[in-house]
Amino acid sequence: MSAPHDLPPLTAKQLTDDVTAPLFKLPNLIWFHGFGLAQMLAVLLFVAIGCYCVEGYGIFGTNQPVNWGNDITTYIFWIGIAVAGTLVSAILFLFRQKWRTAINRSTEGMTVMAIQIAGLFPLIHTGRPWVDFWLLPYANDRHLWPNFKSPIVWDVFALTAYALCSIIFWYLGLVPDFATVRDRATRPWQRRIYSVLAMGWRGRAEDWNHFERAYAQFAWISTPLVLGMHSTIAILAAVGKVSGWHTTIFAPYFVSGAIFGGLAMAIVLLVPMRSMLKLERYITVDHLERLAKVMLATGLLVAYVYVMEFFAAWYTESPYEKHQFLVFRPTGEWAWGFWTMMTCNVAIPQLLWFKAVRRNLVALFVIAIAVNVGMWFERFVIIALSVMHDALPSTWGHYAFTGFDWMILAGSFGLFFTMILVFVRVAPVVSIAELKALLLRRSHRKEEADHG
Amino acid sequence: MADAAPFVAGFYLDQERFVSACAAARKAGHQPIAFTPWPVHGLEHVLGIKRSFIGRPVLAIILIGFAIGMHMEWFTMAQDWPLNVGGKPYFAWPTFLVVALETGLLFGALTNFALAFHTCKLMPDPDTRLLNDRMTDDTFTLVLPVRAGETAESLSAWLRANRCEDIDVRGAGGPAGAAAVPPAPSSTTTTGEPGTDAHRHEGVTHD
Repeated sequence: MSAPHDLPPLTAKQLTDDVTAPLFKLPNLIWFHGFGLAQMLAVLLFVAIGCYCVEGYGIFGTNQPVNWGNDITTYIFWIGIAVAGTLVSAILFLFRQKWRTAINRSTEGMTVMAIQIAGLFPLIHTGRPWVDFWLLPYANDRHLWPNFKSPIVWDVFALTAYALCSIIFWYLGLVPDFATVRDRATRPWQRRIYSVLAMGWRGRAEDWNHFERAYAQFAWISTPLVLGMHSTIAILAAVGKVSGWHTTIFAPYFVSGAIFGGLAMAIVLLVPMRSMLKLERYITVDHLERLAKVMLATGLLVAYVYVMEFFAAWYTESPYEKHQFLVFRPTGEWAWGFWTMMTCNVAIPQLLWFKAVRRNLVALFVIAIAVNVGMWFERFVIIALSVMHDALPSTWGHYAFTGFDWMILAGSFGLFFTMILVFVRVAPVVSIAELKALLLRRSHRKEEADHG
Repeated sequence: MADAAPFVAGFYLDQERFVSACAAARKAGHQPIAFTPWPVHGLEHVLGIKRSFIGRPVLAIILIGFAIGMHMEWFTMAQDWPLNVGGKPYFAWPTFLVVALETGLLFGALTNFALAFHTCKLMPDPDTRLLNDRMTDDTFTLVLPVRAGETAESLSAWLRANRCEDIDVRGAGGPAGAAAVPPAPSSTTTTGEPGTDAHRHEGVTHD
């Protein structure tokens, strides 16, 4: 299989032209349609939040005993998407996986957008979002502090630190590329905007020296942050004495599930994006195939955990664990959700063993969508089904979506795709300088002469 | 920016020629300033640029941030309002590790970002004009400041001898036609040959 550095000769100018072209022209009709649809969905989110602020939390289906329903499920779903982007931008960087260069910027953009949407959900979930600053330790008249012994408070810190770090890491990487766009912009207003964004970057050798060190350090900082952040969310559930949550396997389970679902979302974004922006030469089928392989590997880890959970439930002899895993999930009122999860996360990804499937973009796209559906249901099964039937049968209850639940779920996708569609229009979706350094190690003077 | 010190800039399209010219310039006793459109590994050795110092300060801030986080938790949980939560000790340090670590890493990330901006002298500038628009595209630039005992002509000749593609002289009365053209107001066409759009100025001698 050919890695990006085996591509036919390519000039730096050609690369710059190809990557920056979408920033300087009007987008095509597909973009406008996608943008319009995404905006319409995003409106649902804001309308639902508005109604919620007026009416209160009762508009959602969440109630005793299912205190954690759609909002926390969707929160963890989007967190998972973000985790996969950091895997590509930071962890694969530390492992010197050069193929990450072509997809690094776009997957990290996915992280930045997904983390902001994820952050919205716990803020909604608090019930009174206008006093969400109570989550933070600030000096107040009553000397009240958050309880730092609670993993829920850990999560506040973990998510805040991770979100801020992801955003500034992304921006730092964008600075030299904004400079490239700045120096190519022909409209004065465009040049002004990119000039500010590029912060006067000139590409001095000393600057690159510091820049590259800072970039590597960001990778070192992001890696423990992202693993810690998602493990914290897992521990948050695992410390609860709820059958279905109370397992030590949760942290690696959540992280591998997050990478699995997040890479599926990356594929869903990259497949249309590379053809819409005409970047097939840079984001190649090889890249998507490698993503599919990582997806398959993490999918197998997730499948292993599914099996282990059943085994552990049977082996512990706890009647409530056994009821949760062996009776309620596969045969209860939400059995269809459980079997959707099993089909989408365990059965369908096995098709990725075949090279022909991995390299068929339509098949890959469909599988990736299936995995996204499956991963949403996975979080739903873990969170909502566990609290529906906990260790106290007298409190068992039901859960159903209301219209507002559908609105915030659909609206979160709308907002995500709105932001992604704006991102591909205003920033280079491939890291230009990094990719040039990778692709153009050789002399490119001859090709340049040919291009005039 | 008007009273920039005089300098001569040589433009290269070939990375290897450029790197060897940088090496030669340093050997010949010039004070070369190199600009590259992408990071060129090995150039820092050629130019004698030291490894960036920003590692240790960031590590120190991470540790300080960790200590601040732990102190905050000790103060709030054990000092200001000790609260018995499930019979755990007031200062239950193992449960405080996560928040302290996150605080440390966040401080470290922000410091890393600030140091990167500081060391690269990055500041919002609404009208950055480089010597040449292709400096961030595909053109390598070697700038030689004109020092006492040197002339723009001698440096230009030196650059030509070192196989540069084009030359731009700024600041002093350079060779006819090479520079000293006043900046045009907007016009930003990407010209075929680097260095020919001599009206592009500023940017190089900030420091």
